[in-house]
Amino acid sequence: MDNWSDLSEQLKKLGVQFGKDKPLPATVKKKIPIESLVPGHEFDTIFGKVFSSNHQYPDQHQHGAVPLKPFTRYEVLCDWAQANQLAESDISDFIFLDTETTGLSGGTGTIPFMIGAARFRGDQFVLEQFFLRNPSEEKAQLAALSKFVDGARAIVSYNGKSFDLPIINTRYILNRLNNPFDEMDHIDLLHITRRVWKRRLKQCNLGNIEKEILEFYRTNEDIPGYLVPEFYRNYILDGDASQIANIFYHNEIDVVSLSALFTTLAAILEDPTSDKLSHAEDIYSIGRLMESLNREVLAEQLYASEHILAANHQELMLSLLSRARIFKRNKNFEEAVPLWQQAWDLGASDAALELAKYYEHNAREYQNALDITNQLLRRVQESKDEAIDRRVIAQLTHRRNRLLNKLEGSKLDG
Amino acid sequence: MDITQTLENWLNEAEFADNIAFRQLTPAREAVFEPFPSSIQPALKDILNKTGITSLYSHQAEAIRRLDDGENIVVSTGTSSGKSLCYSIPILNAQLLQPGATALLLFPTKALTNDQHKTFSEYAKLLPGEASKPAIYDGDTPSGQRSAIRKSTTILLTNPDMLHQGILPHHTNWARFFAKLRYVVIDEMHLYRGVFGSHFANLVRRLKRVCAFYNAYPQFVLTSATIGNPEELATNLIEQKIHLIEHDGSPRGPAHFLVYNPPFVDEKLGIRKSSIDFGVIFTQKLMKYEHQSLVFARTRRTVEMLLTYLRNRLPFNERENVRGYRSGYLKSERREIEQGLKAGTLKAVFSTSALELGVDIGDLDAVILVGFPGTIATARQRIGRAGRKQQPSLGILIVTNEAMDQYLATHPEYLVDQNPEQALIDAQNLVILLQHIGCAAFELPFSSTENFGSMTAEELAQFLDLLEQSGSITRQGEEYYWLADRYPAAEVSLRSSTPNVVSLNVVGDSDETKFIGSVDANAARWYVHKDAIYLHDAEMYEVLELNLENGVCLLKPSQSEYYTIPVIDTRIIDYKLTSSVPYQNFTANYGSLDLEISITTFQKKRWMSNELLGVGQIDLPPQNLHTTGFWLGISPSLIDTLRKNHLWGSDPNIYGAGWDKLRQKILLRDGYTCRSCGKVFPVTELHVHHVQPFRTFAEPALANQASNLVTLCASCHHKAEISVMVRSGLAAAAYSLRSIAPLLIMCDREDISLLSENRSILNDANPAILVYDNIPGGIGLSRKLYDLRNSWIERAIEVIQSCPCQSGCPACVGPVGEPGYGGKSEALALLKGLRYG
Repeated sequence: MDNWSDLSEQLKKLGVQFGKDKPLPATVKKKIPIESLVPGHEFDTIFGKVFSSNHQYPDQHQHGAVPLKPFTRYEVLCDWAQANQLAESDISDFIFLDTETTGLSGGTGTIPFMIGAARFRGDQFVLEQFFLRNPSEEKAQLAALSKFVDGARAIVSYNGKSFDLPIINTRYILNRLNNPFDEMDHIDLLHITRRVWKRRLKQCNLGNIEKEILEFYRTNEDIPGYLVPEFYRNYILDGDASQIANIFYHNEIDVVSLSALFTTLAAILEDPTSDKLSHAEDIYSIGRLMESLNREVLAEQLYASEHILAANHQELMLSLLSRARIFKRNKNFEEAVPLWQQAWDLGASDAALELAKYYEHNAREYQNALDITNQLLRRVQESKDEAIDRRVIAQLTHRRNRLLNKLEGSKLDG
Repeated sequence: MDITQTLENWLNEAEFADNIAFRQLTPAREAVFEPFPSSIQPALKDILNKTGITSLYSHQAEAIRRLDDGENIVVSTGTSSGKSLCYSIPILNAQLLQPGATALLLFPTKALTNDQHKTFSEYAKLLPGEASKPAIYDGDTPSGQRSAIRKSTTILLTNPDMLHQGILPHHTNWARFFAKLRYVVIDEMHLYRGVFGSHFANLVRRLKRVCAFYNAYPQFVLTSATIGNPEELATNLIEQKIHLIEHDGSPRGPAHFLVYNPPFVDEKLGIRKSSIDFGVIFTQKLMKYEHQSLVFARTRRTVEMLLTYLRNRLPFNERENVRGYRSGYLKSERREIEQGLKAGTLKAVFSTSALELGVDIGDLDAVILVGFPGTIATARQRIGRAGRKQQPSLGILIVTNEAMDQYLATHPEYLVDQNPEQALIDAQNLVILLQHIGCAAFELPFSSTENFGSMTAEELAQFLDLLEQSGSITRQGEEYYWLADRYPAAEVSLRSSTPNVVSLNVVGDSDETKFIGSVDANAARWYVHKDAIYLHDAEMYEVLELNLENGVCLLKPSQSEYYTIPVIDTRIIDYKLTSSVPYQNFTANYGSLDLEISITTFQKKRWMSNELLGVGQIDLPPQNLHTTGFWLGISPSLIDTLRKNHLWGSDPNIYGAGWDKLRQKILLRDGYTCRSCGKVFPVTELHVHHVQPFRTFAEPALANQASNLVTLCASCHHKAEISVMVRSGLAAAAYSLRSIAPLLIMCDREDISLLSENRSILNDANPAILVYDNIPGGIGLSRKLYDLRNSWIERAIEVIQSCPCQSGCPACVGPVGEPGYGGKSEALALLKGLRYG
């Protein structure tokens, strides 16, 4: 169009609809600065000042049912994160980190307006929450964060690998600053938490883990995470920081729970056979985890633990199969066969198949192999389960025919 | 037998020779070679030698020299003239000179991307060390590979959509790549026109802005098919000085080109034999002489008809030697056809646009176009695929009954000489601009002194303030920061003029739906109203349902024998003149318009013959369009002259003596109520309408029978008049102007609309012809027609003059008898009056 006057009128005529975002308030509200609501201090950097709320917890602090500070080693945890070199590091080398952002989509337009970072220092757990009173303070925020994490060797986060850290990396690049996290290892607790508790707890978000595992319950100061971007936008638009105070609480507990979860996972994984664990689902899950970390002996012990032996059908059956699998891998069929037998008695088709294989290829007892194959075939064919596809039947039939041939052959030989 | 001899034999057949509208032999051309420019590194020279390239064509050498001098270039030379070497050599050379230097290549199609990736990969293997790492990054790139590509790729091949939604909003992941960016290649530039091009120009603005953040100022290389304004389009796209290279130094064999115009069935009505039949006959003829041919048709339906007819004429054992090629075929089927063409086992392939540029099918003897493909640039590119190395080749255009086709049959010079088509964009279209400023603010905060492309900081500030008002961004000091919890690029479609889109979903057999694409909410009313026949990738669909509120359209595959066109009722609510030129007989005006557009009916027309098969109803609320337009206001003096010569058929009717009395009687009979909408109005706002048009009766008394009269309100009367609009010279002139517009401006049929009004508010209740952009805010199409108005009117006169029909046909002023009578002589007289002012 030819003139620029009345841009908004013209755009309206052209069918542009505004209002996807909340427009600026018509009346100016009374500004309530964050400093009047949240105790904190200003960090001085060469790029200006940034506000931070500082919290100190004694390192003997209990968070819910769990101590804040690790009381065991964390070798398995570091091993799992493929950062063995960290296993000998002091706990003060770890940064516990969580961000609050203007959006969840990521990309260069998502600003982490609050970065909560904590580390153990002396006999204290020190938490700083670097907060942008407005986005122009970002350079100072990042510089202050860099100073705070100086000398650390690793980050501990919850889903930080795919969310918080890429965003923070972007901010350092956009502000043309060196990124202190470039050289650090990263232990993201989200995935290992899922590995350990997914079988028992349907939801493994930090909130649920906090309640179920840490037994910590937030006060009504907390807000749900999805409201965070909206609250910050409101604050930027009207200058009223009241809702921001709730975000400070939310972020503080996230970081503290992160440390408590680290402590919990470290303890469980260092000594999983201790009597702390009582849920068969968890024990089986940890067994699988140990197996994947090449800790077979430990895994086998876990599968054979009394909680499992007393467990319901499912965990018991899976554990029997897992144990047998370990023995088979070590060619110890003497131990494996009774376990398969036991699992088959519980109805595990996989076990029958393993037995058939064993009798055919290892023991060469074709009649036994045939019997078990036939049992299995009958079971599969009788099964009302449509999901058992024809391929399984075809495989079993093939096996049966082969065994019949072999039996025929051995008779002729004999 | 070479194809020259074949053609000579063939020309002995009368039915063939007699209907050739145009025949030309472009003689063979020798290559113009130049040595490698001295800047090229020995290692690269070795590799080029190894692949058989020992010297360069002149245009390639010039391209390299100009890039060495720091210029931007646009290369507009023929099909297979070796355009890609113009950028691949400088890119590889830069990587040898400056390790880690990067290049970004944007291709409009997958086939072109894959083709160039193959080439670059072969070079990369030959280059020392790891100098060059090419990779494709698009929607098909597995997520497992993406991170490695971001870390190390130096030659990135992608498409505009990926740059827009995937790369720029995450540019920090590409910091290494952008920091060393030397060249940006924009291939097939002519496709970036209209709405797509206007988006693209803004995408380039965003790209340059991100590059500047990393202190990179890349040079641009654009390639283009032959269009009327390559330099202008390139300059508009990148907003930098650019040098045009169009002297083609590549060699070419002798090229036969002919235009075949099927003979008349009925000359008076302008009806000709089917172009499809001749497509079949010609293909079979070429097969007989053992020439391989590629036949392009406009729709899948035509492809299938061609295939079926030809196979029916062939002996069984030859039927598998011809194949169809279209979207919807499996990848493996397509590869098989491509291989068959290359190996020579396939004798003929019928294809839609799916067999696009970049699909490697080797060289062919002949290309046949069944129907003009819509733009001259495309026609030339397709014809250009014929020719084995420097052997003679044959290209045939079989024209249809349509106006553009027939015009080109009589004016074939446009197909072989200077292409007049102007590719237009308007990067300043407010709606498009606003969307990209949002995306750019997400990518990097704006400073208050920054500009955006050619926009000054002051102009930009208006948009930024507006975005701040609406809460998307926040200003802090001198910086504007993105604030909303949104990812704006995800909401912007590069092919749509507004952010509101309708998704197209095909309903399958078991009720599951498949998403095939999206259209503008505005355009949806035109293309995909209920019961419309919609073409997508040359596939035909019938619309089952259009829900504008939810933005969803449901379609089903269709084999319909007709296509649909909406009948549009445009009401001018207001206008604002921007510029006006008075002539003796008319004024030429350009300005902005407020229109109300209703689509209440649509026509069903038979494919190819365009015969009207029926009319359907559309139930959609009217829509407001604020846009730009160009109108011709016709002066009363010209009308007087025409009227004297009985060449004006648009007068209000004189209803005869006693009309006033009769009128009152009818009003009373109808209770002063509009019989259409049922509302009561004051007498002054009521009209009495002739159900069957007055003009179609021999004498007033017959027309004025009470049974033919009905009371209507002004608004309903307007609608009724439109729906039974009697063709007049005015409407006929508009028809021919409409049909020839694509010769001057490259656009889709629905991008512009024409309207002729007898008593127009645009011209003090005198007649006017209006053309407007069918895109909110306009995109420069009617503006260009305003600039080119003399040429446009002249071409329309040629359309009518060169048409042999008696009183109007689809190829000139529209078919006779639909819905009124032809206005050929009236239209011609009117246009001639508009000729010299």
